[in-house]
Amino acid sequence: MSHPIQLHPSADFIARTRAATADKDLRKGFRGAMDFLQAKRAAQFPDPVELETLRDLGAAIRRHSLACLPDLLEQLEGRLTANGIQVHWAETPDEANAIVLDIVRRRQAKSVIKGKSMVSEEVAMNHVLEAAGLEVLESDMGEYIVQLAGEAPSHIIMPAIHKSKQQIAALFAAKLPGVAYTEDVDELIRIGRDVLRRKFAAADIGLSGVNFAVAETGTLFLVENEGNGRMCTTVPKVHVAITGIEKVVAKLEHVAVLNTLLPRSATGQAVETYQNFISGPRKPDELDGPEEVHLILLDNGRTQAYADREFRATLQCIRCGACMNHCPVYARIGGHAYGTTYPGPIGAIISPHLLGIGATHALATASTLCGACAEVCPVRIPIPQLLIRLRNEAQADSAHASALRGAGESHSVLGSLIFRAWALLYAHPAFYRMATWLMSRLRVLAPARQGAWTQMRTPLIPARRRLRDLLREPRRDAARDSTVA
Amino acid sequence: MEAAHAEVHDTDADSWPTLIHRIAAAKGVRSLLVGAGTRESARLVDAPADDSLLVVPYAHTVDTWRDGLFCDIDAGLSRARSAIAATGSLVLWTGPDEPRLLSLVPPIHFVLLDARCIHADLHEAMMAERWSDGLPTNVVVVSGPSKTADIQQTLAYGAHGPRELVVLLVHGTEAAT
Repeated sequence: MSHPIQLHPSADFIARTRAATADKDLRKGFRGAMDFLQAKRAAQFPDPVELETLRDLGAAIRRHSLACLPDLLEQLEGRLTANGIQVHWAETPDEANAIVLDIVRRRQAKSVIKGKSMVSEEVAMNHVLEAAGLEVLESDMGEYIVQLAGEAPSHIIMPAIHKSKQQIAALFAAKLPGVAYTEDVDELIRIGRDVLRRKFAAADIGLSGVNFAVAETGTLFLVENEGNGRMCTTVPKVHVAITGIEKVVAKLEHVAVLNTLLPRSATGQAVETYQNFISGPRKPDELDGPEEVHLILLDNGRTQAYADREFRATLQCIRCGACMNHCPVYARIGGHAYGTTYPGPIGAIISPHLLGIGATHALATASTLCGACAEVCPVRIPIPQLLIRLRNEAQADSAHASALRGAGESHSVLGSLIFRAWALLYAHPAFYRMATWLMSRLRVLAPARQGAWTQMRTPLIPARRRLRDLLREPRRDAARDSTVA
Repeated sequence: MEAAHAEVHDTDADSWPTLIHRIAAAKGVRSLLVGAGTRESARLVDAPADDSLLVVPYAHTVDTWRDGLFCDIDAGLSRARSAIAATGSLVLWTGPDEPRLLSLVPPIHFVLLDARCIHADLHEAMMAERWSDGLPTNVVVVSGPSKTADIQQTLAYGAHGPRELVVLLVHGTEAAT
């Protein structure tokens, strides 16, 4: 039913951004959604002192978790195992999928119902399970819509943000038997509810993501509004959770703090409808709940970010999506143009570790470095700084390239020569003066067409007199001002 | 809680069973699922009411009556361990007489909350109740009925969980515990 997620991050990124910016409906939809989400978030944080204090605390908790990550993961595995939850480690997407397939075969499962999980998107799990002959159904309303349309999510929190009510109405009428076209949102949700309810009761395996895994108690913390997460984790006989290794926190109380930031930053809600704390499968005296609970901990390049002091901050992310909601580039090109599982600013800094810099370097350049993302990040990830570092890594020559996968892959001799000349000019005042003097004298030679610059702007022509020259002249204005005074 | 679209009724230890009967009748609820063998279920059955509300005890494992649970039950009644003032949330600890699906599958969810068990925020609840000393297999903190805004940011209730959340705030003696 769904297609494998097509990942072409860099190859035709520019073509995709052109198509996206030319699509008026898409732009209108995203603009409206972004304005809505920004206003809702702002309304949740009326007190700037509270906000900054919470962000400090949130960042400290995440940094602390990462600082003792190996120990916490070991503690988590121990506690989960003691609670009866089976822990699996996966280094690559293939390994993660193999683990799920193994559980599927052992349980002779035929259908899988899924709660929202970006990590499962990251490993293209739907495709693998469907290829193995299983029925896989997304149960989050947004994900269900996206799956029905054969697409991928365009936002990590609101997967169907790119679709209008009318498009969804048409999709339901076309794809669901016996459903008439209706634009009534309540009615559309009721239709989705009825279809999925039958599936929940019948599914063999429930699959979910995890928001935080708590090491001290061996608890999986999962938030949601719809109740589909609760359905997936309690109705089927097997619950499989999948998450990245960075999602662990030391203490239960850390969850309480982080979850004051997460929903407010994400959707501008004070709290989600359901906060689930899952600490084990059904006990012998209990009447419901899954017989088996599994947790798959995925690496997929995260250890590369972890090993680098600067890039480690990438893993602080709590996946709220505030950075994309506030990104002027994301608002204009939307989530699909990025071509990666995680779009927006966070996608630009996490994807290089998952897919290599070579395949993703264009994403780091799709930023004005305006800093809006860093300003709203609830755990203070210095996103613009990391974008600059990634740009440098992508351009680095072999002598300077770091150990990052794909570093230096977009290095060009001409590019590096230009930047070296630029650096030389800027570091030596005499050269600089000479160069600007020459430029002002040869200004008539400035070309009228200057590549990408002049597509949207007037050409750059050096001034007749440099700033330096202007400053040397007697300050006529100042003299006149003083006589007036 | 009301801001999160929940219905809140003040009541006391003596009169909550009749109140539930009355609300249930008004909402057209014919069957109410309760934890088997709990004091609450006995009191509901004994409550003087002239309606035809069927009090169904959750007495068997879900595997034996999954379809019945999903199709035939109109409402469920659970007991909140405590509540959180800051976010208007209910803390539900599941266990043998408080099954997970009781508060999830039926379209209307009634909750009994002892007015004395209210904490300022989640952090305080965790600390005061010493959660880290041991949690049941499933804890859920509920803030309102199930909802979604996945279609063009338009809020709709009753996505997959209960469409309505009815909280009975029990003042006075220890009846709700």
